[in-house]
Amino acid sequence: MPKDMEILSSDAYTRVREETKRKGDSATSAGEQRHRDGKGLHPTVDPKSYGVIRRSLNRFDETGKHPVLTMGVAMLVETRFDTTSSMGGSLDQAFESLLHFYDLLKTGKNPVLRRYDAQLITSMFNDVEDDYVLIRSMAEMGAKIAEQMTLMVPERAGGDEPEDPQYGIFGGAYLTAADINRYGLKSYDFTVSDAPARDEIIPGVLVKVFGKEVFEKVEENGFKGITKDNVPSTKQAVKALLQRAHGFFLQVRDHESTSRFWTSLYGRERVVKLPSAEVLPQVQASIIGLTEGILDLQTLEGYLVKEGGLEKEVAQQIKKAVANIPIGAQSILPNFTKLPEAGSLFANKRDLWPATEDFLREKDEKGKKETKIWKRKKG
Amino acid sequence: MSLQIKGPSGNTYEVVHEKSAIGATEHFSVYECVLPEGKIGLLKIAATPEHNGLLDKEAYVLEQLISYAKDLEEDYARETGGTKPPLNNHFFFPNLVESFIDPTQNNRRVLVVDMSNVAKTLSDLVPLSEFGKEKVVVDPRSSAWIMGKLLKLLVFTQSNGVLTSEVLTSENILINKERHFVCIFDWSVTTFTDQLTRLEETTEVSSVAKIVLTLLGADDLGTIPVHDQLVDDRYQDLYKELLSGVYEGDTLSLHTRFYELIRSLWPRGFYPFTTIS
Repeated sequence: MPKDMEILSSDAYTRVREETKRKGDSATSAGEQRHRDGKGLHPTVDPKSYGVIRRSLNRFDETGKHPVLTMGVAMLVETRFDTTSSMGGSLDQAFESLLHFYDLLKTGKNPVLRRYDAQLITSMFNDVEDDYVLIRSMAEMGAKIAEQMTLMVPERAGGDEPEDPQYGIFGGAYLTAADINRYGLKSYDFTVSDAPARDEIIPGVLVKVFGKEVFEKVEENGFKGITKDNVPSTKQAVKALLQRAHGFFLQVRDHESTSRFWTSLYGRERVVKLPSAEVLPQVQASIIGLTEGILDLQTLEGYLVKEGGLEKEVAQQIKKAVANIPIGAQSILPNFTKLPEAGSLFANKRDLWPATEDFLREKDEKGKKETKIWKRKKG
Repeated sequence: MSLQIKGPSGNTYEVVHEKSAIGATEHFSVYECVLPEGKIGLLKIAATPEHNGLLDKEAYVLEQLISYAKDLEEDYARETGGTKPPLNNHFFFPNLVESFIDPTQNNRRVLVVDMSNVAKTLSDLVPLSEFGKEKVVVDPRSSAWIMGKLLKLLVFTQSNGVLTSEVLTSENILINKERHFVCIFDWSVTTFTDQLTRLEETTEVSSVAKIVLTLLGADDLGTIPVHDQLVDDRYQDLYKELLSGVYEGDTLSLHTRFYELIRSLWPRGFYPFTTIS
């Protein structure tokens, strides 16, 4: 398979993991060392870099006559981790469980995103006073998912709540371009934290995080009216995010102030309390599967025991935790049943829909005629 | 010819009047069906497989509700030594018989519920939306048993973290006028929480107060039309207090207070459901 058609295989993940372990105890030793060496963030995880807007695009094999949608329509899943204070180990944990998470999404026995090309963005946030308020990877499909995780720089410290995920939420809402949205469907967005946030988004911090072109980039991505003098609140950014993504706040621990804050932004049906941080992959897969209509509440416990590898009691806790979400919310969107399948032929890479049979026949006929004329001339 | 739908339990449900649903939304249709043992039930079926999620959620909600009701009934029996009548909180919601994906129905989800706790036939049940100012108004004593039941429902749901604000509509609240039962029909948009906030509790109470005031033909401020059964303003004043959302105590103490009031106004004993033309 061409390199850019890869997925996250067990071998690829193991290779990255072994290399990471050689560099230090933490999954992010490489990123942290780079920071200590004064080199700043690696461009692949710097929100300012690669044009700022994170793009999740359909992938095509162009080696044949027509572009082929090799892996199915691109489905973006972004997870945004709090790495301050008591959440400092969240990325280490996410790295260790990455292969299991990817299995549940794409490569396992009953993957919840089986018909899509799963593309993952990993983000993490610190406090506004820290060197890196937000770190955000590209939308990746293979070993790079794991590699870019290792380049992050968690703060691991920090004082009292609230925290500052709102810059990541801003990025998710206004600086993301996902092909799945062009079909009228939504991507998936998760913010994982144990604390509330602030409702204010400060323009100067947006510039610090995304660069001085941030407002031009927001406009380039189709959002008018957002300037340094007119920045949305966190609540407004969440509202915008939910227009293009099935967004959820995944709460670690049980602080009432945290639940109250995020419920006021996302609504009760989108705030999910994790029974424990260790079951994050299973909770995310449950949410995605229920939203896609691949899973249902009647059979969820069995799925979590069999595919998720959990004890029955934990499976029951997860079922209770996710029962409020809008079940089937993706499946009732227009075009849900009409998405192009893997293997579809397209006329052009940026077309939404596969080429019609008539078009392909005409193109093939035209190709044959042109060849004939050329041969005659040659003769 | 009637339609028969077979569930994985082995039960066969005969759909009465297959060509005409007794109700429908954009998400599902509802049919009357015959349950095993000849009881009358309702069969809900998703509009398309893509709409299965709502009925999936409802099946889960009904399972949770019956579990809460059973636990509470056992605790209550233990506390009272079985000397008092049962709480019967399970009358407030349909009894889930079975929920399944039916391959003969294009893989749509089917939900079968038993309403026999509150009705012998479906015609015994009437939605509260049938009553009110422009229609037929209910007399104060009749409104009292409806409000009492609704407060009891809220005590049950709120103490179990069940949010009912979305299901408390006059179209969705059914009553058996003869036997004085109240039942919420559709629970598909219910959510759960660890603990309701004070605002959520009072909002739900205000909501049922407003519904019952509508039955009485009251105006938007909660002023109830003059009636012989109302010798003073206490009944009306309580409703106005509940409408405001500002009152002392929780829903359980409110339920107690409500019954103390109506016992001071009217004699105890069965009062037939009465409307005023």
